[in-house]
Amino acid sequence: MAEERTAKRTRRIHHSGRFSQIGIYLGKQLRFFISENDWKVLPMAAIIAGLVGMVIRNRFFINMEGSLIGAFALTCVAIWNGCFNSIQSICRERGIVKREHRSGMHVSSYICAHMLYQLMLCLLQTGLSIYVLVLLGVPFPLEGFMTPLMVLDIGITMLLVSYAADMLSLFISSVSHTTTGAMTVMPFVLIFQLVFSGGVIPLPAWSQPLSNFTISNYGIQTLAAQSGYNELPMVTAWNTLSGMRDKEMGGTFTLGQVLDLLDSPGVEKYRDAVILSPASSEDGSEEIPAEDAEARTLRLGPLLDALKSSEALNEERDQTFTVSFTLRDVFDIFGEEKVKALVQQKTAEAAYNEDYARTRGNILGNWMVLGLFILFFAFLATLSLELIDKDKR
Amino acid sequence: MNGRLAANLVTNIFLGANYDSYLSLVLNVLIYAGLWGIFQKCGLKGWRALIPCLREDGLGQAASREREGRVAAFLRGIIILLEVINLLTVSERDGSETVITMVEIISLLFSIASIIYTIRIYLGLIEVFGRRRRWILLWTLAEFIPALMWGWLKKYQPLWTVEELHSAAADFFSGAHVESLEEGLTVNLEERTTMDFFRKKYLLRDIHMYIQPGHMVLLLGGSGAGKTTFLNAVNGYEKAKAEVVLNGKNMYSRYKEMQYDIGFVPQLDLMRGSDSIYRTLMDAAAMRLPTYFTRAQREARVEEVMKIFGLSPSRHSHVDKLSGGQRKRLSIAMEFISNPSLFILDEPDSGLDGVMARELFQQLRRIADQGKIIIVITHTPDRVIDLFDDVIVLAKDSNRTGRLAFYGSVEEARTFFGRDRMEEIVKTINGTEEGGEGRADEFILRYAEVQHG
Repeated sequence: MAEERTAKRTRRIHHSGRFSQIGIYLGKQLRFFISENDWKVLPMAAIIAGLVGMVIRNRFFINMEGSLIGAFALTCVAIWNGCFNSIQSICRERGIVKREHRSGMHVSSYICAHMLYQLMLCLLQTGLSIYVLVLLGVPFPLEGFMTPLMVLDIGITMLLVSYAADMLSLFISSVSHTTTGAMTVMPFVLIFQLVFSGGVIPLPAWSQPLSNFTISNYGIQTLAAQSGYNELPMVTAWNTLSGMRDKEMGGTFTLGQVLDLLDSPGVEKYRDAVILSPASSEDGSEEIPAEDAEARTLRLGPLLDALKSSEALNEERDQTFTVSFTLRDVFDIFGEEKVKALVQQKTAEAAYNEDYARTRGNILGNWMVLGLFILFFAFLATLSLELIDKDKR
Repeated sequence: MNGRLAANLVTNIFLGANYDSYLSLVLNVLIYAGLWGIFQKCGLKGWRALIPCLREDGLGQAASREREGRVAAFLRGIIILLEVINLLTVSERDGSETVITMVEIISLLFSIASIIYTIRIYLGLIEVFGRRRRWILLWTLAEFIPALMWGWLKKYQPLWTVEELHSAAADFFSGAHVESLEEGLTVNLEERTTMDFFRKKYLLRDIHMYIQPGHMVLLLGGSGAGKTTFLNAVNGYEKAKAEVVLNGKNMYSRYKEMQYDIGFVPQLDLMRGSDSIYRTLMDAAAMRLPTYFTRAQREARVEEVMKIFGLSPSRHSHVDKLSGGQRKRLSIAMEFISNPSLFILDEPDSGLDGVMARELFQQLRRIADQGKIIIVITHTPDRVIDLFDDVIVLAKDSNRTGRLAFYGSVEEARTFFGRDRMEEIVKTINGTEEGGEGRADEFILRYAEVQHG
């Protein structure tokens, strides 16, 4: 009884709680930002953004491929920044954490302080990166989709990607016992994030679901959506064709092959296509009545029938002839601009990707997933650090 | 299942190769024959060499590398399982190339780990047989040759066997129980165990004592005797099957409340190098002192502690820039800030010269004289032995469990062990492989009998 009463009395003595400990550890972090080398991550972020910016500035927001490469590159920048911010932050002082834990440190406070400090770092890095990209002339549209400014839209995505990667690294750091251990794991994580992002590197079918577990996947999707990927032209096919304009093409065919081709369903479906249609009288002085015009219009169907049923032609089925032309000839016949527009439109239609749709729902959904990643990894870091007392000596 | 597959399964599981790989089969049979002989020489059943997993476990025991043996046995089990999966998948001819490739890659990873652990075991075996380490080349490249030689030639004999490692002392316990008092520290530790790769391992057993307030106690023991484990068990950080009572309060049931009443100074100076002495102590004060302490009171306490430990002149110096002695004092000051009743220090004098070490221990003596209990581990006790009241001697018994070989005053310790110097006592109880006299079991048994009455 006496001991119970004493215990109750003693229980009234409180020591620093979780909130006050967050303050203590945040203070430590901020002191180290100045006195240790943590501040160096800021210029490093600017340099990385500069290198990437030089590569994407003539592509991002301009065409589909540039948009996707830009989204991939900016995601890489954000992941790189985030990962290297925190990868050593816990493991380098694991012994100290262990000592402080046995003296009453709350792991949740410690992780919260790290989260706040890392958020500050990621914010500064993202701001710097966007500033450098703008300086380098990356053509950000002025008006944003989710916010009034596009740079703010892109900034939010980069911040979330960077912070999620930061929390992933914080978790790795909380599990690793040494900095060497953490740095050994780091390349695997980076490779996994980049290879399985599902954006630029095509994945075999069995591994595609893995990309749902990567931060990079959601980063690329969001940035591609924000840059209007699906509304932009695709230039690769046209550029390839254009580069081949003077290459001679053609081959040797038999008349029979040509007749078979004319008999194929692919050509048959154009039977009603008009080949010749008189728009007015020969001298142009009067309009031709509709019935006469129809009667004098030459369509593909009758012409095909005439060619296919021609005995003279069928007797010569084995006759060979050589065709030779360049794409320049084709462009001259149909008009280069028309071909270009057609090729870009058709290839863009083929490359349409639902995941990159510029809708508020899509972008907000991706932001939420990134937010969940942040909370999930922070939770895992807390959980793993709670077990720090089980470390083997 | 066809006959070929069945034969392959059997030979893969028991002989480690396909039934048509004649050379591999013959070599493996020779290895197992050699291991049979080695097992018998080391005091184990020879037939264990024929059963996979049991073979690796036995080899680990024979080589005094029990943990490695268990890991190798586990790896062998996994490799066999993967081999069976691989054989069955191939036989199904389901065209699942990806599955087969994945199984092969995973199997390769486990095989690499298995090879490494096997090499470690062979290194242990080389020590047990008292041979040169260069034998490892032969063990690695042509296992069957050393296996047959060591197993069946009389010239090759182990220096000790598995049976010889066990003695009567390891199984004798005092059965003592010390009554807890309102003041001082009472320890009744039955056992402290851990699970080490599926096997229960005893780290400490049968330790009972009462330490009076105001006493400064030296904790002696060879490496691996369980000194740090004992201290962690005493302060409740790593709980054991024990009852530890400090000033009438049970440390285990009221750990959260009492953790501020115990100061534990670790062996390494675990402090952030970029903080100043003042900031380090202010943060320690904020963490360890009750919340009713105002900022002014905390500052006053920090000033007081800095003065006690002679840290005031360099209050703004970064921890990185401090000398070894200053760091040690700061590390102790961090714990002292909450004025604990029990102070535990793990090698506080490591890296300090004689003068600095003596100064430090004199400081600890002054703290003890204020009615605190101080327990200290040090490997150079003789230069400061006059400052201690009592000595605890821990030793590894033949089961490699930490046991109490003595607890009493310094003078009584000298009489009990027949040695004048503390370092000689450690040498007496240390194993022969550590350059000691290997008399741990003798003193454990003798002290257990004393406690048993």
